[in-house]
Amino acid sequence: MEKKTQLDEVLVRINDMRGFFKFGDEIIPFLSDLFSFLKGIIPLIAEMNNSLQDTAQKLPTASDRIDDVTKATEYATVEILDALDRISTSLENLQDHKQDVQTEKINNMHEEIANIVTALQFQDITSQKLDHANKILSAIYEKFTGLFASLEAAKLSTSIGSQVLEAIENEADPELRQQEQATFQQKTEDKIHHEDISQDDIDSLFS
Amino acid sequence: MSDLKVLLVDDSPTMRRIIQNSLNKIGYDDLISAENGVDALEKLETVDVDMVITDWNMPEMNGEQLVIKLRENPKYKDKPILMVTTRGMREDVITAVKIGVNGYVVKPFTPEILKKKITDILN
Repeated sequence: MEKKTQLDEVLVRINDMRGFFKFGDEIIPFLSDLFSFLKGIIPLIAEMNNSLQDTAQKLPTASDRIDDVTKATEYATVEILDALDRISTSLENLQDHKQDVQTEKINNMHEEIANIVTALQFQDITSQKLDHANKILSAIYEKFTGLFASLEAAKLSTSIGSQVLEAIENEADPELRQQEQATFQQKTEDKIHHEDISQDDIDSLFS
Repeated sequence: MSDLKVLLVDDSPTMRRIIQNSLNKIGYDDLISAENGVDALEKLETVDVDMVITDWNMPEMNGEQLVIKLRENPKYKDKPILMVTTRGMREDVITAVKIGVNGYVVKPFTPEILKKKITDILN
């Protein structure tokens, strides 16, 4: 009986092992598939990661440019309003010494000035729209920064995670990365450098 | 000239000037200005006004928050308030009505429209 029991135990163990190998037969192709998938997707993720970092770095500059536009239009609008005030005062002075023929013309000019003042409301309207776009850019930048921080946290939390993320970083083709960076820089290059060179410097270059 | 005293609340110096010009043109020249809701509430502590004209989008305290604050205060619960804003969505106007705004003008506006709205509110 005892021998039979031992044999039974052995058979049960063999059966278990058979089951394990059967399970292995099923899981090995799955793992192999998963491995191929990861191998294919890792360079893609590496590229996405790099592109996102390049884009994120540009966002504060874009935001600053929007602020510059708002300040420039506000300054220009105030200048125009000042000029219109001066013209209005001159017209009022003229009206004091008016002749009948001039009256209609002066009134027309006053009306035109009022129209221009009304049209100058565009400065506030466009600046509010730009401000809205700026808020969107800031939100995207914060989102990107958060994602990169999460990525770093994931890297530190598990050893497999850190290995996968290191693989992603190492997988990026440095040459391709450099090319993409150059193209991105070219496309987003800031060609307006107001403060880089003065008119005097420009003139001196032509003299 | 009217002896109506108006508090004008707008963060844009350009808009404050344009609204001020428009108000002067239609006969209102007793104005005080504030740059946002917080500034407006501070000004109201020292001076009494007959009417408030406010923008919606402003830093620190926007026009909506300002109107809510004013309506919560018994002293200002019936104060005429005109909102002059770039926000022209139906939902915005409904919100303005709900919080107690008396009149609503979408920018850009002409002095004539401003005059009509002020007259409507005061009547």
